[in-house]
Amino acid sequence: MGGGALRGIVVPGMLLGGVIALAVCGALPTLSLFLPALLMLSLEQEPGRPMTRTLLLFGLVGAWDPLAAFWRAGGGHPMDWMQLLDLITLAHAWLAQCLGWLLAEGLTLLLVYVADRQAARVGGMAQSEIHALDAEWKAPADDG
Amino acid sequence: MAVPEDGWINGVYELLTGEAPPGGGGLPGFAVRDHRNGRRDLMAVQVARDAPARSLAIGALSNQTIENMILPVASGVGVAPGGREGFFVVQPAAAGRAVLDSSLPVTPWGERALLDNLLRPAAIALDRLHQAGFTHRAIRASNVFQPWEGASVVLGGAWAAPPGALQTAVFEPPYSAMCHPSGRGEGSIADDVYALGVLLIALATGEMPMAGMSAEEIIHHKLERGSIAAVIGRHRIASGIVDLARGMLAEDPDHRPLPVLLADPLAARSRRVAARPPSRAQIPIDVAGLAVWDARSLAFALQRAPEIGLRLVRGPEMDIWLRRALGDPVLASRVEEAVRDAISPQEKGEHSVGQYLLLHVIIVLDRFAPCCWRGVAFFPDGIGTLAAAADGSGDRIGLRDVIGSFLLSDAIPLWSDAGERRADSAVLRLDWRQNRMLLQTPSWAGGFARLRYALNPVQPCLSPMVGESCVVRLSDALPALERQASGREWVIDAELAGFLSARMKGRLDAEFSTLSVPENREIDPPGHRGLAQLRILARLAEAEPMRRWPVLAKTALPSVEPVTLRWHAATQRAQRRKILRNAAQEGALLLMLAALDDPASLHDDARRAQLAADRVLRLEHELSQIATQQARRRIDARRSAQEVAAACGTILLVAVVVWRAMP
Repeated sequence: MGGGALRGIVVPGMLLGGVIALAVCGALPTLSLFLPALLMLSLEQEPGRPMTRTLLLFGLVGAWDPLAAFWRAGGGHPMDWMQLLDLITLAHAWLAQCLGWLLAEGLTLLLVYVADRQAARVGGMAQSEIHALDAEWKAPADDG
Repeated sequence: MAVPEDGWINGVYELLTGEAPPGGGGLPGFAVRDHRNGRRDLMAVQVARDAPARSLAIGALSNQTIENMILPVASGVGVAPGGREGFFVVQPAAAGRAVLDSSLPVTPWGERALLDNLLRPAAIALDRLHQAGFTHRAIRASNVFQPWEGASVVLGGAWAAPPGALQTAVFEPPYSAMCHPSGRGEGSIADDVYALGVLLIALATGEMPMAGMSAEEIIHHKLERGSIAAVIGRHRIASGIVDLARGMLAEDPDHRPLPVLLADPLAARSRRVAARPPSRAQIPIDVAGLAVWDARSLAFALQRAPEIGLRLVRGPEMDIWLRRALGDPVLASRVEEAVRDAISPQEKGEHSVGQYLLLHVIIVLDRFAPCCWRGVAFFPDGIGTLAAAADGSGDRIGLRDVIGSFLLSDAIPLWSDAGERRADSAVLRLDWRQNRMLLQTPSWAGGFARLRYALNPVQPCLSPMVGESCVVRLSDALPALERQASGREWVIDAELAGFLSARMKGRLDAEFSTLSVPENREIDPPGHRGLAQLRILARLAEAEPMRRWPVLAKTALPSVEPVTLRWHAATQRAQRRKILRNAAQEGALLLMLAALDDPASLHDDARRAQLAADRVLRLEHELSQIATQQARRRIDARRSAQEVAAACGTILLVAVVVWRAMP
């Protein structure tokens, strides 16, 4: 099994596991916590959905405490759902996912910049070596 | 052997102004002082440029002593009192006067004086010379001296001109006399015996034999009547002297007594020569105004008028004369056979066929006849000195063409196989093949000039490139070129190339071949001819490596500068050009060559150029890859960034879980 196929079942598996763990009644508030990740899931075409994965991980980090509390409470009481849908909780979860997205995109920009600089440096060195070789081994007719 | 600054021969012999001492033998002579010991009894005989001295004899006989013979002491280039350079042979000046001076009355010598003062001392001297492997070929009345009356004669110098070149017709056997003066060849000691016999008769009569006759008349008389009868003429001479002279003037050289036998005149006199007089025709045949009565004279007449002779040979008239008037059908048949044989090789060209036919007929008619080609007679061993005379002041025949067509034909095998030859046939053929090969070499490494100088080791170079300088040896060439080179980019012409290649004995033949063809810029590497010329000049400069040749170096510079373009590396080119220009400024030909003639460096340069080209290709490939792989780089960067972000998220999640789980 390839890495792409493995990644292809990781995200749905995590989502499915989360839903089963929180029970159907907790699914809706839980999904609302991960709305950016779900949105990304629907938009992302890349195999393995790496950005969705990042958003889910960061969303878990941002919403760990409410989710843990919801888990410990058993999730049977409507108050538990309300706690999950608390604006602060929601904001933390979404903000965390937003930070995850920013981190991924920022790192992408940084690495592209670094790779381009590296390529430019190597190209420049090659160009200057070609110029030096041309100057040394140019056709004799070009001599003064 | 460059000319010393003081103009002395070999830096030792000073040429003095004033009256020339006797002994020059017809060539310009100068009194000489030996600066080592102040000796003043020497003279220097100036050698003509187109009639070189006898280098082999000079080399072998210098500082030898043969009593009653003037031998060479030294030879070399010097400056005559007039200021002109020349090649001189130094020899002792003759004492006394010539034995037969036309300006003074001469009393006939008595028999005893002839035997004791002339024959015996001359024969002993000739025998010594014969044992040394040489001939004299200059025994004539004006070149035999008697220091005082009653003294033994002294044979004058014979070394400053080709063998027999200065002999008058009367002192030479007819076959040698009919030859071109420069083509008489080394001959044999029998020719000296002949000349001594003529001198014997001349002194016995007190008159020059056959005086007042032209050379042609002398030869004709000798052939027709026999030498002894022609030379004695109407004079009455003692029978003992006649007996001696008859043997000495025998037509067949093998019948003449050797000098060692002449040293004992009594024994020589008792020797009888069985010579049959030539058959005489009943009526003469006219060949170009010459009334011919016998076969030998006919051969001579055919030789002196080749065009008319050829018509005669091809027509029926000669055959009829031989059969009916001369009464010799065997000879006529042999001539007819020769005509038939010679006509067959049509591929040789009509002119050569004609000459070949004529030569064949002449040697059938007279087995002693020399080679006759286009009206020029010569012995094959004299072809070198004959070549020296080509293009000279006395060459009105076009000797260059004569020798060229002669060597390219098969005349020498024909001549050497027929008749009585005085030279070894195998040696003649070998020399002929070598000479023909040289002549046929289609470049300046061969050709007529190379042949001329190869056969004449001390002939001065006749090229205008050396001006009036007397360039005889290799070491003379560069100083002469340095004096004349101003303004000339190319200082070596065909004549000088022939001289140099002959003296270098083929060591730089490739360079001379290069110089002989114009440079083809599309095929030849840059500076091809210039480098060849520089190699030759540098080879000449090796004799004096520390000496500088500024004029030659500067004039050669433009022709060799393009050689630097052979290096691919710009720094090498610039560096070598700088060295070259500095060396040219200094006049250092060897340094100039060293800067350019460096095959190891060129090889290394080519290898490095190939490596550089490969490297450029690799770099260009790398650049194109950098340009084309930008999208791939971005994908990789994005993937890496997402992996890093996921890793960060995982670490944070684990950290939060662990932190919350802690009590």
